Amino acid sequence: MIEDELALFDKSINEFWNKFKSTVSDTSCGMVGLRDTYKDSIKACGEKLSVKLKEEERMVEMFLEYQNQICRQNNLIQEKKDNLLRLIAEIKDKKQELEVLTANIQDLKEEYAKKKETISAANKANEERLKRLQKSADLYKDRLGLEIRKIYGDKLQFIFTNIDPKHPENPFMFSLHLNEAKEYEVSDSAPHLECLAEFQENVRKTNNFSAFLANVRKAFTAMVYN
Amino acid sequence: MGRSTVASHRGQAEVLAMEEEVAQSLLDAKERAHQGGVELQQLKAELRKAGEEDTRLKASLLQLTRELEELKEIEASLERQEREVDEDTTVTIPSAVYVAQLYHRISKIEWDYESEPGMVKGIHHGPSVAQPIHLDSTQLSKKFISDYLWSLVDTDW
Repeated sequence: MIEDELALFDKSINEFWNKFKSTVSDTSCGMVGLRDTYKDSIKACGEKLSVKLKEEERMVEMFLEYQNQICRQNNLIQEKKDNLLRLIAEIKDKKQELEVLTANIQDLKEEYAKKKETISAANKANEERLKRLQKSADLYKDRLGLEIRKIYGDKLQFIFTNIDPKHPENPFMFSLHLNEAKEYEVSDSAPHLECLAEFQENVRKTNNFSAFLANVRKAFTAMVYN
Repeated sequence: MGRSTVASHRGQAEVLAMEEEVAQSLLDAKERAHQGGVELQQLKAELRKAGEEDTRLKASLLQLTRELEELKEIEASLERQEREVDEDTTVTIPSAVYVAQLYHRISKIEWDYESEPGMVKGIHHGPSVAQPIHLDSTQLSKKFISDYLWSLVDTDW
């Protein structure tokens, strides 16, 4: 009986030991499983965090890049705004200058047009007058056969033609000027006239210039006939 | 186990909120950069336009300046012409007048300028009488005419 109880006890102990062993080993396996699962989930978490960190680093990088860009842009914008303001001011100045110049030019053009007309009219009038005067002088010269010329030294030269019947074109001339005493002074007669000195005295006395010339011509004519 | 789950959920929410904030800042920055770019483009376009207008104005000013130069030349020319007219008025004409008057004084003859060509017509103003002159130059020699006209002039001093 004790041996039976011992054998039973032994069997119980063995059963208990086997059950214990397997329970422990199950638990142990479970624990190992849990530990491994835990390790895996930690690893996954870690990986997710790493990705997140990289993302966030990237975002910070981008943010800084944008900040740089914005800063550069702001500088450029300020610079270009300044340039634009300056340019607008220059344009305004130029427009004003343009206005002034245009008005100036217009005024000058009008002034010159008027001047041109005035000059043209005066010229025309002068031309006509000179023409008439020339015509008059020509008539006298042709018909009287007497040319009166102003020559150097404030002298007048009198040239008679139509004196010599054989050579009417032959000139008979003398010069005349007013000396310092404001008296008539004859000179350079060609051909030489003796009585010219006498005529000079007469005309100084009487101031009858008309008679003076008539007598000179008469004297020249007389010379030819001799 | 329950406490740490709650804590981890709250942590997650905080992180999400922060992430949202950062993402929003990033989007804002991107938007600002984009707008800055747009503003920059507009400024460039305005500058270009203004630059073109400035160039046009410069060209106009140049042209007007040249016109002004030309006008200066015209002014010089006009001044020259004025001087010429002046000379005519103050020298040439008086000189011609003097000669014509001298002829008149010498001969006392006044011509008829309306007479037919070839006819010598006029009046001699003698000391007492005025004598008409009427000669046909086509029939008479030049010497005859000259001699005749001078015969009218008094030789008495």
